[in-house]
Parts: sequence; structure tokens; C-alpha cells
Amino acid sequence: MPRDAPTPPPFEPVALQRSLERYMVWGLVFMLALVAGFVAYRVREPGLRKEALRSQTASYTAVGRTLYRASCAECHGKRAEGGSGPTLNAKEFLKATTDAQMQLLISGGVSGSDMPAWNLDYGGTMTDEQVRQIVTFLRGLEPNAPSVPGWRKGKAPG
Amino acid sequence: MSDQDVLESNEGVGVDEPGLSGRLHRSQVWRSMFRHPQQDTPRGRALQGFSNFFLHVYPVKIPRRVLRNRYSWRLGFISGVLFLILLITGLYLMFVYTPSVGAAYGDMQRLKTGVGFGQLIRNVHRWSAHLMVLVVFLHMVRVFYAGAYKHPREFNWVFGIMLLLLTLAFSFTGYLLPWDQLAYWAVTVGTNLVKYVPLIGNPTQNLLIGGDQIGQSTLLRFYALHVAVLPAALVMILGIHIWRVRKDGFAVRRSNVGAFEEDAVAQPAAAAPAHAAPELYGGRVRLLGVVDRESITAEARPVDDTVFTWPHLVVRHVVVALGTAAVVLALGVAFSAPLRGLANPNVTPEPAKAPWYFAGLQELLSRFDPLVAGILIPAAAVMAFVFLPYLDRNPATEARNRKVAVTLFSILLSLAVVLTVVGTFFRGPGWQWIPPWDHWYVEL
Amino acid sequence: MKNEPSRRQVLRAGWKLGGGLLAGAAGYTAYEALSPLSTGAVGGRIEVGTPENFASGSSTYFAEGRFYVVNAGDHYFALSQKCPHLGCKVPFCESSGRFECACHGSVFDLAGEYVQGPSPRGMDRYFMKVDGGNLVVDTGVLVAGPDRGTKTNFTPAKGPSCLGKG
Repeated sequence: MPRDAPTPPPFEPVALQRSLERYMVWGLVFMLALVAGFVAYRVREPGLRKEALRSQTASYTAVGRTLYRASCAECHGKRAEGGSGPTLNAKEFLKATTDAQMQLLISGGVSGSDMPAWNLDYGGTMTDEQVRQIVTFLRGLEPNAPSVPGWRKGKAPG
Repeated sequence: MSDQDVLESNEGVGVDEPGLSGRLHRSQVWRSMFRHPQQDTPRGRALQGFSNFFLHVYPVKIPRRVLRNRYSWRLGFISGVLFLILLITGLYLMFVYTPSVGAAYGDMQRLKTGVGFGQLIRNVHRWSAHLMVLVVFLHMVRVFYAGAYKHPREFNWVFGIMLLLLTLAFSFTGYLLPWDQLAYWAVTVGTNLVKYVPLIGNPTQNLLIGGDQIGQSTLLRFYALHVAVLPAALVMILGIHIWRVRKDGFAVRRSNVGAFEEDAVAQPAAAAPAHAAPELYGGRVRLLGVVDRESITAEARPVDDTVFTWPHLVVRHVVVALGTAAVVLALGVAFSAPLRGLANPNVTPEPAKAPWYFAGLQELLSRFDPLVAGILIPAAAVMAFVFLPYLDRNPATEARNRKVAVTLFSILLSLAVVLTVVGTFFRGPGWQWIPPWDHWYVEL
Repeated sequence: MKNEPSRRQVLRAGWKLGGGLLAGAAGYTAYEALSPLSTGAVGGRIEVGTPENFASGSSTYFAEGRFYVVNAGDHYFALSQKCPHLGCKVPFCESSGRFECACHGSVFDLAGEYVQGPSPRGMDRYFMKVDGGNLVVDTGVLVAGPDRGTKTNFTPAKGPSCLGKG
């Protein structure tokens, strides 16, 4: 800073100058600490995110399974193998249907069939979150789902 | 010579500065942006303060005692910094958050799994909010013990009480927004307190939560309060509060040497005019028009009692702000803001505790009649604080000359602290006495 | 004495540097925080059926992915509906067998290659592959369309244009 006098300004006591400089050193320390904080978090973030996603999926799957047993199993089968309603544990169904589509199907139901609307918004009993939990549970079946070409028919006894 | 003339003259603008930077600083473009000559002379510093928008919050010169951290512990300033941090992090959160019962909780999870720095921003927002409640409260305590609420600052104390209440309202409305079990039940317990007010209790509660139980309309109401109404109110009152602090000359001036004995040591040394440039105090600053009439800088006081705000106070403030930011960032990196399961009106978690700053109130409620504990006592406490500067007519600011006020306040303060600590740390399910070393039921 | 920087000068330079670093960190944080969310693995791939479903010279629209699947002489393409010019939805003109943008008059042939108009290039495409006999479109990655003048899969207009009738 060429405009500064090389020596402390003569109109202020040296002690004041010294304490100002002490503060400036602390300021530098804090600035570096702040930058270090951002970097530290950025380094940890991918791990934290993966862990959060894993634990979130795990808890959603668990809750979703309970919800499924309580509300869906009667028509779709205990292990989603199908009943009076379509087979959900089917490669054909799970591959072709996105999470958003499933969410809509469960929330709004299928008119002209026995599938009612489940979401509170459509007169059902479940919150968006609960529907999402069921979707997460069903999505978790996908890797081991068998091929059931006639999944739409379910396993209706009649 | 008018102020404008000084600002537009070429005098002292990098005249002795060689090379490219000198030419840059002398250029018209540079000088149209930075209008003040940046000279490290008394006049240069005065002009920097005078012609800079940001430095206009500060006077050009301040009493030297303002530089001492031990006077205020900078608690008021730290509160302001925390508020700024909350504004910034809050803005980021607004880009992600939807105030809807169906979406809010999912957005909280998205912060964790999908938004860059999302969880950090939420952590910092939450820890800053808790810290702000604490620091604003400590600021009030410090102002009381310094006697800084006395004439002419009576009404600024009242503004301070308003700011404390607004801070609590901020924290409480924000508490609901994640829409998890913690939020839902803390706010359920909190808003049910209102019901105990006779006559107006029920309508007020209905107005607050927009129905007879907490739901979508509550979430939207709390959101609107949290991001629009309260910030506007707080910024306005904070502006007046700070403006008055400046007008009243920052720190309280000790009438005589008492509780602050270092004054006695510091003053004579500072009064030695050996290093003072005589022309500075001969009115030169005032002749330039930096101050055109009697003001704080021209008060009759020992010549050496004042220092330039820029750089001394400004640098200290910046350092304190950076330190505060570093602390909340460290907290945010180290500790994650809690997120329990989705709010479920059918399952009450045990214990259902109000946020910690209301835990003292909840503790009172477990001991007394709801009307007394939930309404009369807090209302009386707030009223007592509001009228304090008008009831306490004793002009002394030293503790030894105001024993009654200090004793009463200290008793009330310790009661409040004990109740809060008991309510926060020592209560478990069913409000049973469970020490924190047996089971940790504290949730922030 | 003149050349040696004073302590204050060093500190001031340090503050400027530190402030710059901090601004950089804050700017990067802002960028990361406001970057759009990646859609994730699920939902990016859309099955559109077997290749035999698409007759040569035909175009089929898929609303869920906002793209067309075309069969330009046994070359299959998944074309984004978005015009590279200014983002209008490009409709398929049955009479000419070409894509003709009503907004500003860009015309693309069946393979989405540029024919005329203000568009800077041909229509953008998605990756498509055959998985278990089915065509699968990956909407995760959009590939910029071929440059103007590309005529690799050129199909001439089979009839009158839908544009400029009025």
C-alpha cells in the first residue's frame, strides 16, 4: 500500500497502533479459519451425503414395508407377488415405472379399478411422505424382482 | 471550502504515488467510485468516514473507551452479526424450502442428500439462531449491570426488550419449519401456553396457528412470519436501536472512577498530549465541514479521549464479526442440526419439550397454576423489564451505588437461569427429574 | 527503509488476500448450493418399446421425456423437442415428414439435421440403446445436435411444408 507512511502515523500513540495490528493478526487468523472450515466441510460432504442417503433409504424402506403390509398386502400380496391386484414385484412393472409415476398411482388411485386414492389430498389416509416410503420400499425390490410378463393380472383366484 | 470541494479537489490523492497504481488511484473512474482521498492523516481519515456510506453508521471519532472489549463484551455487535449470518443462510434455505406439509420434511432431507453445502447452511442457521437468543439475552444482562439503560437511554432499553422478544419469536417460528417430530411437538407445547390467557387466549391461539390444531395453515403462517414480517420488524427496530446507540455516544461515560478502576490508570496516560498533532484539535477537522455543528466529536472532554473510528473501531468490529462467523461455521461443520422423523400428530414423543429458551417457562408450568406460571409471571417479568428504566430513578451506574437494583436483578436472573437449566437438562419423560448424566434428553 | 514493507503494509496485504480467499469460498459455496439437483439414477431412463414399433419415416412423441423417437431409414434417433434456436417445442409436420418450428421457421429433417432457418445446429439428441429388445432413452445426457450442413441421414421432404400457409 504505497499510500501508507512506512512508519505508524505520528498523530496516534504507538500503543494504539500496536493493538490495531494485534487485531489485524487475529482478523487474518479468523479469515483463514473460515476458509479452512468451508474446505473441511467440502471434503467431508460426499461421505456425509452418501451416508445420509443410505440411512434415509434404509429407514424409508423399513417404514414403507410396514405401511405396505398394513395397507397394500391384502390386494397386492404379502411379498408384492400379486393378488386381486397386479403383481408389483415384477421386473416389467418396476423397470417401466418411475418413482414419480408410482407416487402418482398410489396417491391418486386408478379409476375404474379397485385401487383407491391413498393420499390425504385425494381423500385417502397417507401423507406424501408415507407414499414416498412405500415407493422406496417397492423400488428396493427391483434388483431381485422376477420376470412376470402378466403382472397386470396379479394372481386373482377367479 | 465546502465538503464537496474537498472531495473533488485533487489535493492529496495519490500525488506522491508512483507507477501504475498511482495512475489508477488518480484516475477519474477510480475516484468516482472511491471519493475519499485515502490518506493516513487525521484529515484523510475523517474524510474517509465522512464520505463513505458504510462508515456512516459510525461517527468519525469515538471515545477511546469504546475500544475496550471489557465494557460491552461486544455482545450487541455480535447479536447483529448473528442476525446478518441468519439472513444470509436463511436466504439460501429459501431457495430450497417449500412451506407445505407434504414437501417441507422432504426438503430438509434434500438439504442433507442433494444440495451442495445444504446441510452446512442449515446447521449454521440453526446454531446461529440458538446463539442469537443467548447473546441477545447476555447483551441485556450486560447492559443492566453497566447501568446503560439510564437517562438518556431509557427508551433504547425498551427497544432492546422488543428486539429480545422478536428474536424469541424468530426462533420459535423457525422451529416449526422443518416439520419433524421435534418441531411439531415443541410448537404444539409452545402454542398451547397461549390458551391459558383468560378470554383472549383461545382466539389468539387460533389466530396464531390458523385453526384448532397445528397443520398446513400453521406452517404457512409461521413461514410468512419468519421470512417476511419478523425480519422487516427487526430490521426497523434494530436500525433505530443502533442509531440511538450512536446518538447517545456509545458507551456510558463513568461519572467518577468506581467499578472500572482501570479508568483511573488509563486516563492520565492518555491525556498526555505529547503525540497529538496540535492543529488537529485546533478545529481543523471542523473547519473542513466534517462536522458543521456541535456534535459528539466536539463535546467538551479531554483532548485525547477520542480516536478515529476508521480504522480502530472498524477493524475491531470486522475481527469480532469474523470470529463470530468462524465459531458458528465450526459448530456447523462439527454438529448437524437434528432432524427427527416426519411430524406425526398421533405420536407424541417423550419428553415433549418446548425449545430450551421456553424450558424455564415449562418448568414453572409444572409447578404452578397455568394461568400464573404461563401468563402472569412472564407478563410481569416483561413489564418489569420494560418499565425498569423509568422505575429505577437512581442516576448512578456503579454497582456499589445501586445495590437494590443489582440485587433484585441478580436474584431474578439466577431464578430464570436455574429454571431454564432444570427444564432443559434435568427433565425427562413425564417431566420426571432425570439428571443429564443419567440420560441425555436435551434437543436443540 | 523505503523498500522494507512495514508491518502494517504486510497486514493490509494479508487482509486483502484473506478477504479475497473468503469471497472465493463464499462464491463457490453459493454456486454449489444453488446448482440444480441431479435427478439421480432413477427416472432418467425411459423405455419406449421395440424397434419394430417405429415404422420407417415415422416420428413418435413421448410426453414423459419430452422427446421424439424417429426412424430415419433404419437409423433410430431420440430427438429433444426443444429447438436449439430459442427453446420452442418443435412440432412434427406430417405432410412434409420434417420437424418445422412454428416460432421462427427453423426446419429439420426427420433425423433432426438442420435444413433451414435461424437454428444454429440440428436438433439435440439423447442417447438411446437396445436393452432386452427394447429401445431405452437416457434423458440424463443431452447431446448437442449435428452442425449445420450435416447430411448423414438426410431425408428429403415428402410433401408440402406446414409453415407459411397463412
